[in-house]
Amino acid sequence: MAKEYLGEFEELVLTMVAALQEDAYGAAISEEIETRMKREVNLSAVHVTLYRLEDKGYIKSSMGGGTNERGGRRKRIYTITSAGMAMLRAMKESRIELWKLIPRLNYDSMI
Amino acid sequence: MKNHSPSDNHSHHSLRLLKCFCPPHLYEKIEGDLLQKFERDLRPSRATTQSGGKTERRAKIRLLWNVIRFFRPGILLRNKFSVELNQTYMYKSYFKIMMRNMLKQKFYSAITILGLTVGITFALLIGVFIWGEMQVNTNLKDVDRLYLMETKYKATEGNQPPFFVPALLGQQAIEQYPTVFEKYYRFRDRNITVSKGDKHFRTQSMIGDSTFFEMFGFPVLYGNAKNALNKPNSIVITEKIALQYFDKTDVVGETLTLSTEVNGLKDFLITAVVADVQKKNSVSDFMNSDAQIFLPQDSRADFNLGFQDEWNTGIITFIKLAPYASPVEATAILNKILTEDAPKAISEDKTIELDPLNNYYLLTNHGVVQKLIVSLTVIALFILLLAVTNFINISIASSFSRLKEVGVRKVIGGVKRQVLVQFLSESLLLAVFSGSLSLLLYEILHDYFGEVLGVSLPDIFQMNFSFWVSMIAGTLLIGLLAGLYPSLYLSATGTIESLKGKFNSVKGTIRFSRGLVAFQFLVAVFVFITSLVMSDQISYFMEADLGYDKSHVLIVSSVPRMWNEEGMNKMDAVKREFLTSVKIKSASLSWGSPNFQFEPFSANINLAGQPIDKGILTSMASADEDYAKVYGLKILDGKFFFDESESFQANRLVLNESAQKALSVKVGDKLRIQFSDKEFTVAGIVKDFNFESMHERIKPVAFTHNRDFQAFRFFSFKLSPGNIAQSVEAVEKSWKNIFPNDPFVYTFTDERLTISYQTELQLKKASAIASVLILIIVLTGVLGLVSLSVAKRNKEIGIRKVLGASASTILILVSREYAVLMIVAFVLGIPISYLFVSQWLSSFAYHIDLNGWTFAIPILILFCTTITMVCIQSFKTAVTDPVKSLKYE
Repeated sequence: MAKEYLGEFEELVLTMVAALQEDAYGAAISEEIETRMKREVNLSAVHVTLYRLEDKGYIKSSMGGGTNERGGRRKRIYTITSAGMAMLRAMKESRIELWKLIPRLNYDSMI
Repeated sequence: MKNHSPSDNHSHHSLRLLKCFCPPHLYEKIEGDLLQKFERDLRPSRATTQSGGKTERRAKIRLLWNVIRFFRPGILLRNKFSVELNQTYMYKSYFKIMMRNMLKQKFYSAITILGLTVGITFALLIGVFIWGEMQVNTNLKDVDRLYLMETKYKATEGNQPPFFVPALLGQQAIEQYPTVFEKYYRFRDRNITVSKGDKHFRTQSMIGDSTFFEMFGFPVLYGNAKNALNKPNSIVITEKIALQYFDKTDVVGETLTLSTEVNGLKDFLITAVVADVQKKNSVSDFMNSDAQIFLPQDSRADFNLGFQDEWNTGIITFIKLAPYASPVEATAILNKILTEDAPKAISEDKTIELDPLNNYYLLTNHGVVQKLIVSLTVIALFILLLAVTNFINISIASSFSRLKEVGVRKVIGGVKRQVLVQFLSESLLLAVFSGSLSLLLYEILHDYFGEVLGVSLPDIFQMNFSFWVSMIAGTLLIGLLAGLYPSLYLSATGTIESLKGKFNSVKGTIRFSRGLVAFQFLVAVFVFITSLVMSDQISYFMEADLGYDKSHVLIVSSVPRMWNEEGMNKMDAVKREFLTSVKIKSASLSWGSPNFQFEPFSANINLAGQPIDKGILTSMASADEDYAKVYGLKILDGKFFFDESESFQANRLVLNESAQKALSVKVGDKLRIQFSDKEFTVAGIVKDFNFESMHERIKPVAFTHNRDFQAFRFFSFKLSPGNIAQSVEAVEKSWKNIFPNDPFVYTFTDERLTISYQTELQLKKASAIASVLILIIVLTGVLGLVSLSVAKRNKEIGIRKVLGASASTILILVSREYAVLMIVAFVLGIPISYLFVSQWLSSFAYHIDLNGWTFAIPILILFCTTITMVCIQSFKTAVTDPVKSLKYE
């Protein structure tokens, strides 16, 4: 576990894949990030990240159906693997551990 | 509402770009995502419609930007490279082997490249020239609906030029059938002296209807096109003329002074300036007249051109049909109007035809331009074909050395298709290389070649897109043609045979090669004979006894046209003044001059008392009594009007021999001329002379004296031999003294003759160049073949020498093969050329007779040079010590 590491953007994308479930594909993920996080993301960056996550085994993919909106092109739907889920959880827990440190430090400095 | 589908051009380009670098297994989803984003970017435009276009453009730019952002290692490195790399290696190896082979056989590579380059360059020059000729008239507005009205006379000879039609016809057609005819433009031309201050130039004009601009769509720089030619005394000039007189182009409102025939000097107000139009077109450059100024119809009176609203005035009429109107129907209507409305005397001897302007330029004047184009195309194709056959021959002959390579390639697993691809790509590469060389050569040669053909050819940087497409396609086609047979043949050779270095079908290839060589000789002989005959015929034109003396005759065309009694007197005085100069032997004032629209009109003449309509149709010329002296016309009987000692005698006539014979009259007889109620006395008979094109027979001609008609256009001066330049200067000086307000525009009779045979001269020069090129290609081809076959027969020759053959026997042995081929080619070539050449000659009324030498000379030259070359090339082998060639067995 110690060797594996996720970058900030990777973590973001992985979370989105987990959250969007059936609807997790490149364009939807980047839109979702843009609307929820108010953050400009580039499509290519999302794609590259998705491929990298897939290489690492945190997500897997299958071809979905096409819609008229995309000129009939099919989507690749990503789903999170259990390894990915475990990774996310581990990261979240470590973050919370870190968060727990914050108030105390603050009090100390205030006192 | 615009359709924003992904097939929109721009988004399409962006996606194509993506395809170039995106791994195929990722492509579909990336594309889908990009399209989805693109659609989303478009969406705001639907809410706010006013900036729809802007949003769309922005969306497209964003799409392109997004595509470019995908160009990153994370995507690029997911490509699988292995397959492509492998093939590149293969092509690299092909290329390397090809370069090695070419360097090893420098001589043969040079020959093939030279042949192809020469062929492509020539084809390029000819192609660009022809393309230019095809573009003539295409810039005119609605050119496919424009027609020139032409008169077809029922009589076969002695008619007015076909382009004069009754002046009222066009007008009547528009008025009565507005659904068929849309517009017309009628004009007559005049060569006018135009002055501003001390600048005087002679300029060609068109005097015609105000529909000029709407009809042809010539671009107007300044002024109002609509009513530029509506008011009397207005003038429209070209940019060129504006610069000539005012050194600027915005000159609307300025005036120019024109010297008119009837009303003397007259001011005209410039109402519009036209951009310099496409140089060649059949309207402003009608019959190569190159008009630069345009006058309204009212000015006809000033220039003594008759009235526009009567049936019996001849005028040149362009007519524009309504869209979708049928020209056949239009012609029928015109003829119907002519027979119903025109007086019988006008309509009975003619019918009207419509000549479409879009091919008028090619077909006019006996279709001379089209003939030139066809001949040049044939020549260019021949040269290309020869270059290609050279390539085939030499690649087959030299492929012996590459058979082993093919064998090895096949042994280690190469398949037939790969060998084919290898050799085809070699020939394509060679063709592309030669093509690039040709472009370079074109850039160097186009000025010179344009000069030869008397046109200006554009340089490479002005070429349009379709030129490049056809250039590349043509080059590749040539490469394919040249390489197809050798590569098919090499790749089809079996593995074992190739390794042994033996051909499986030696006989077949040799026959094929020989056939090609014979074909080359055939073409060479054909082109030689043809170009020799052409050049003979054209020199015959230039040097034939035309019945008049064309040396040292200077013709001045810028004579002020004072066409009245006073003017005649002035001209007489002027003539006497000119004659005081020692440089001028004689001078004459006339209406026509050789190759300068000699005759003003044709008319029936007959003996007085006989019915005039039964008379002989005769070209009416008009000159003064010194005309025969200036042009050296031979007087057979009587005198040219009157003797020098005599004073002017009115109503006299001089006939040429043809007219005299046709009428069977003698000196002293009285004659009547149609359109004139006076009686004329025959004063003299002159020997026939040829003032017009040799395409046509000499017609009956009658001279009347200038004074009887009070019209003239040219001053002709016979200069004394010696320094011509000085003489011209002297004439010009006295001209400037006598006519300070008129320019001095002159030409020499022989120059004029050259101009009237311009197309023939172009053909002559082009075919001479072609002959030389063909000779080069054929001879280098033969050279290559001979040296290859000698190299191959090295041992055979060695054995023959050991058995006692002398060097000369061996030379005969080698050259016999070529001699036989040439004889076959000549036997086939002579009848073909004979048929072609006699056909060509028959289009001239006066032509050279074909004799044996015309055929013998090219054949002899070709035969001797080829045999000499074969001998020189094989001589080295023939004298080598046989021990040397045999010792390695």
